[in-house]
Amino acid sequence: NAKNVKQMLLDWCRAKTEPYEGVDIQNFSSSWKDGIAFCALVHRFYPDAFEYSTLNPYKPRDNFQLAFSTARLAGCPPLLDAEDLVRMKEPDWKCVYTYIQEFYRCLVEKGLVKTKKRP
Amino acid sequence: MQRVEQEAVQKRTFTKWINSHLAKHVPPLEVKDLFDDIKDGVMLLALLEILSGQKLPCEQGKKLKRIHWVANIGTALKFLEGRKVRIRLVNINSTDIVDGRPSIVLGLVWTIILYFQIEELTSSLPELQAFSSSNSSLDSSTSSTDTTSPPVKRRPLALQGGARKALLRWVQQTATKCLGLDVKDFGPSWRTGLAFFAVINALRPNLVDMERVWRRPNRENLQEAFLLAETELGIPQLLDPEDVDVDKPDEKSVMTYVAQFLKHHPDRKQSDLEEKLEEAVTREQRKSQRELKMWLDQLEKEAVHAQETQGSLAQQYQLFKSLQVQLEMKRKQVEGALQSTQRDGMLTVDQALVKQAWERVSNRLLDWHLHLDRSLPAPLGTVGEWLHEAEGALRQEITVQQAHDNTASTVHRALEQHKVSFQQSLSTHLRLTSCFLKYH
Repeated sequence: NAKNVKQMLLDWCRAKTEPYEGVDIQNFSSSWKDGIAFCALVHRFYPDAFEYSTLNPYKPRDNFQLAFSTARLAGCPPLLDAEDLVRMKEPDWKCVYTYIQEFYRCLVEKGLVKTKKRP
Repeated sequence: MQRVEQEAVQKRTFTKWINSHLAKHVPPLEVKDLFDDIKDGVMLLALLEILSGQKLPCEQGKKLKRIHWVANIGTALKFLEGRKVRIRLVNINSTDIVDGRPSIVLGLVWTIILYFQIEELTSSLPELQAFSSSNSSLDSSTSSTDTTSPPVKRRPLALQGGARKALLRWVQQTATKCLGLDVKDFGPSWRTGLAFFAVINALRPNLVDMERVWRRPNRENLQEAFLLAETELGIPQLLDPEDVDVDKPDEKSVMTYVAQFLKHHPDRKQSDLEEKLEEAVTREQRKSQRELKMWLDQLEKEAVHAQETQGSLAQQYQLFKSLQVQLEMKRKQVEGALQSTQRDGMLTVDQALVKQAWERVSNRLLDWHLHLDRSLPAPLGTVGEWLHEAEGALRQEITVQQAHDNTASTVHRALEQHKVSFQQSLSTHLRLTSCFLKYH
């Protein structure tokens, strides 16, 4: 059951970022390394917060900062540290999963994601 | 070496996740070092209580010994294993946690994150499932319209159930039921102003002629009710009739105002219940004020961090803009929090702290904006400077409402209008600048 939820959350990320160029989410680790995937996901719900087209995949630190800062609009606390993400070869998948799941939960609470309980 | 690093990263992330939930505890708790603070089981049980909404038995106090720690951890583990969604705790013993063994502790927290949230996530099943079964050709339900359209039902502000419900019941029992008024919330039920009259009537029976007010326009009723409450009961006019005569009046504001009736009736002795109620409402207000201050402080920290970032002017503008947007979205909440409930219009300590924090972070952003604009190549740089100088007089100030002074509110409104037009020209300027930067 845990595996199902992980896969479902991953599929949800893929679906929400599908319209965005430069994003290909295959896992909770390497796919998020340059920070663009975070930005795309957050931008999907807060399109006025920043201009997606001006982002630079070679500036991961900036991208993480922008994404996490904007995600606070949903009430999502910045659980991940940009420095940690940049330093390691690949982001730690458990950490990324924890953050995405928290972001999702906050979106549900804000009513930005339709659920069974709140159609 | 890599495992040590990975452990450190997970420790940081998991700690932040735990703290984001422990902040909701009454009183708020915080884990400083995960491996140390988890040992006695107190924080762990508090976390599980927050996540599950259930109360768990916990051995607390100064004279706790190891045996109590083991008991607490045992309670926590048993609780997890007994959940509806079976959580398998392989290789996790109470003693390992009490010893603070890093890999075991991380494993436990990860298990909680993973399994505990399954219930919550799976209750959103339809949304998630739609994507696991579909392939790359997505239907219209995943287009951008579903994210930008407003939610169907607007949730009332997350007020703690207890005080709000009790205050509502007090209103119904003392004031509105006997008049046949149906008050079921702190929003639309108050629009006509009749409910306010009912409360005043309950406290001062001869003051209101209820027959007269039944058919009058809402605005008139509201105006008169607020004025009456102020002159006869000494209750400061915290609400504006035009804010209440809407489809969905702000529940938090109405509740704050109605709560004032609990304490401002000079002739009446307060019952025990009313006293407790008033205390509960005050506690809640202070809690939300403190949370607001923390939010503002955190935003300021981010602003400091962001200002130190090296990067192109365009990227810095992005960062600035995203922080500015967040601040603006909090403005209304901050203004609400700074309404004075005292007779002399003074702010409480908590309110003063919120005001300070707001001013600090908005001044910092304003200075940063000025700096960014000055860094633009001419002629944009000079245009920016002019705008900032002109706006200087109207630094993003939150005007504290003078409850008893009508002229102050008129001035306040004029200032607000000024600010709006300035902010509009400022945002136009921002947009122009962003466009410019896009192509350079």
